[in-house]
Amino acid sequence: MRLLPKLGRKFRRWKKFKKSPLLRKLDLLHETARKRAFLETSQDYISRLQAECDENVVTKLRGKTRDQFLYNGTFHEAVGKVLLTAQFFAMMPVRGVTAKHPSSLSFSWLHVRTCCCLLFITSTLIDLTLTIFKVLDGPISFNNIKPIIFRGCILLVCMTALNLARKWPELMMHWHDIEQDLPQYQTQKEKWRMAHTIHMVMLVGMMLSFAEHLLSMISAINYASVCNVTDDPLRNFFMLTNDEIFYFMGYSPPLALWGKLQNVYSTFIWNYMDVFVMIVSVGLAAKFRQLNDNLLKFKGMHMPPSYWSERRIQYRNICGLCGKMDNAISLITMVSFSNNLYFICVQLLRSLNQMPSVTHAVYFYFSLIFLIGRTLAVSLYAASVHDESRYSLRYLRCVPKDSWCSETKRFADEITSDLVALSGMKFFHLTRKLVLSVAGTIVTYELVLIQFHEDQNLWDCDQSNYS
Amino acid sequence: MVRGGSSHKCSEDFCLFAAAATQRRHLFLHNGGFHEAIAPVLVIAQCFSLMPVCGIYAATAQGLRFSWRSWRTWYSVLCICSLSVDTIFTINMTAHSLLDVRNVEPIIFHVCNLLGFCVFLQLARKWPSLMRHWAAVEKQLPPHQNWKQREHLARRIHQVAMLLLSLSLVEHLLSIIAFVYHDLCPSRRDPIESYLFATGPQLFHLFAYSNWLGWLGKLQNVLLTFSWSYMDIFLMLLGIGLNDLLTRLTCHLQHAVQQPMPEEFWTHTRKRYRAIVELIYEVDDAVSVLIIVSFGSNLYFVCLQLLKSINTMPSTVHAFYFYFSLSFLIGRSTAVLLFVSSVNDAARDPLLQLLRQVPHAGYSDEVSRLASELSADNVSLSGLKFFSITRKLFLTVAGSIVTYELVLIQFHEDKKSWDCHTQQLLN
Repeated sequence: MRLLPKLGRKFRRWKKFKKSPLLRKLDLLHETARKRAFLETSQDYISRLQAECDENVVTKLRGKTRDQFLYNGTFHEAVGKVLLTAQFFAMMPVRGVTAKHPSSLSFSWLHVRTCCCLLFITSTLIDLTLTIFKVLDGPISFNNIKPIIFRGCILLVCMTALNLARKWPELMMHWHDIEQDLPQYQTQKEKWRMAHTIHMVMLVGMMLSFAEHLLSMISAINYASVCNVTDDPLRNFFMLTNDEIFYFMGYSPPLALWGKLQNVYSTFIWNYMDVFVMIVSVGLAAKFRQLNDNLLKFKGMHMPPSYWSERRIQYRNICGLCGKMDNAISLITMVSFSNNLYFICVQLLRSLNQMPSVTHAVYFYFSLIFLIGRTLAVSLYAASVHDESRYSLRYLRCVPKDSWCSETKRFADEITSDLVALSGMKFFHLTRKLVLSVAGTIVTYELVLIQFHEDQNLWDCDQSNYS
Repeated sequence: MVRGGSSHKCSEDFCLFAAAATQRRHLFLHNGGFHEAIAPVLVIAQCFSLMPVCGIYAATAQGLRFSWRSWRTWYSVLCICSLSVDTIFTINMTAHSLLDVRNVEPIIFHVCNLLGFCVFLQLARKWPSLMRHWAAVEKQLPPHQNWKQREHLARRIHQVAMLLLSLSLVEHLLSIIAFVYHDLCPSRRDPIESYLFATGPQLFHLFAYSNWLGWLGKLQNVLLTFSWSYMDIFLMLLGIGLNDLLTRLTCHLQHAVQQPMPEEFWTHTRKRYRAIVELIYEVDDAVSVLIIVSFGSNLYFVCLQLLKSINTMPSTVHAFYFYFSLSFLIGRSTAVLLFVSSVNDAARDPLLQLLRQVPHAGYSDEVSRLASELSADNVSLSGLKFFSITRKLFLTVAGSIVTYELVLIQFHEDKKSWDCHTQQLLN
């Protein structure tokens, strides 16, 4: 009976020897690799568990940890609240915008947000149709097609934003990858700067647009109280602000509510498209500045070629990102610029009219100045991307002779020959020179339009040329 | 002993005399620096409360400093306050009349010059560090060969400044003469009172006439007129100074390009060129607001004066004054554009042409680097980076003036300046 285990052992050894030495070596390698991998995963698992455990304990102790107040300086983090605000107004239906990491972003056609967005688009479409019918019923002039342009732009922007939302998770992942690769800021203040600028732009823009909307309501109420069609003041107001709806249908409170809601949403989106272009430009410019700050730190020093090749690749990455973002938002940029151009022309032309009352004058001049200021701000912020991208060249010019190598030459050549800027569907590039050409264009159009202008009596209630 | 003493005394006297002479000679010698060359022009500006910076006559730029507590600064701030109040009065006056391209003239004039005052105050704070940077760049450049070269920059600056300042003085005097001696609509019996009344309409729109208020109005008018001319003159002088730096570098290179030079020479040249370019960028950052204000106001006033030239003139003196001031305005605008764009002209092409002549033996990596830098960079002063000032801008501006003019003419009605009734209605 003792023979059997002996035989068994022998058999096994024999089996082992049957394998070629190479195979045996491979087996051994596999085995050690498997063991190491297992060890690692288990250690990893344990450490992760520990970390989670720690986190849980801390969150239980103090509602918020220090980490949650710390900025990591990424664009995704900075833009989260801005997108969240937009989602309240049926734009950019992406999930997970306030998450720490962009990998939790997702888009689906079945989300509530997406449905809201689609609903709003449909309602805008109906509104636009009604407006077109109303405008086509009367004489068509440069001034009268204003509501069509307004609502058409809103519809276009909403649809573009929906399309953008589909690409947003992928874009943000790309953005995140590039940000990780960039030279990091050391202090919290530097990391906080971009997020602060973005929040301030959003806050100031939205506050001003809110003020403008309130003023418009006040002036409409004032107007409605003078030109009262019926006894009900509320009805007068709605008949005035949503004349396209009640042009075909009789007055009813739900319709009026829909009209008002539509109005508020449209006004928000009209401002938001400019703010959005500004925010993306701020983000891109901040990434270029991050690189430039690093170049400034080593300005005029003897750096090895590997440093320059690394910086050049990072610069190229940001340029690629800029191109990608440009492709994604160029329609919005285009709409925003042409829309602003048209509205400034119209408003400047109307400024020649005699203002019927103080409320009108205040509202009118406030909205005109706000419009011009917003257009200027969009142009300047968008142009800052181009400015920052050119700025690296000045540091490259100071490279000492010894460390001037083919990489630096290539870097400098690339910067001089490339035009890195946001664009309006590639029809025009947003640089600072554009601002003057736009201003010149406005003045020229205005001078021509003035010749055909007749003073409209705004107090003429029958004409109903309010909005 | 006595003789010896006397001789000793004599030599002492001679020494003293020689010392005094060298001292006096020293006073007339130039060191060729920009800081020294621009000093008299800045002193004139300080009389009119612009550029309140201390130590303009210091031997080097180290002596310059800005302090909020110096009397110059107080003077400047006081003037700015008084002019702001005046501007508010002007806006108030214009708001009560018909708004038109022509009627906003006083507002534009006041606001532009007020902005100019504020920019000069801001510039005065940066001026010491800017001048130190400038002096450091000058030190890097090859030294002057003889006194003629050393004197060149200062002479040129003084000539240009004197010519323009005296022309603007003549223009102002002519305006007084045209008004006082040929006053068509005397608002008061005394011609001087009547003139004072007319120069400060924004004050007497609100207050009753009094002599001291009239003189205050006149004083403010003088300040504004001076700053209006001075903005342009100052920009021209900066253009001349920067152009001079670049020309010095070019002249120095002219002798060197014919024979093969070692690579270190080119490294050195490139560093010098880079230092000048960095200085130009710094100057641009400091004065670009001034450039935009000056160019904008020139554009507006040229348009306006051209439009007014269609009017029939009431008298020969008026016509003479008007055409003199119009040609002075156009000449000054052209001059400022040409002088400032000369920086761009000198920064690229002459140097690049020289580099093309470098013989094969001397052509190294450094030469190619310098050439590529020269051809790629756009070195010029700019108006807040919205437009860079090159010679090409001249035609653009001229074209837009013609366009605006053609449109404005269509709305123009002859404003009869001797018809006192309509004028009073308009005012």
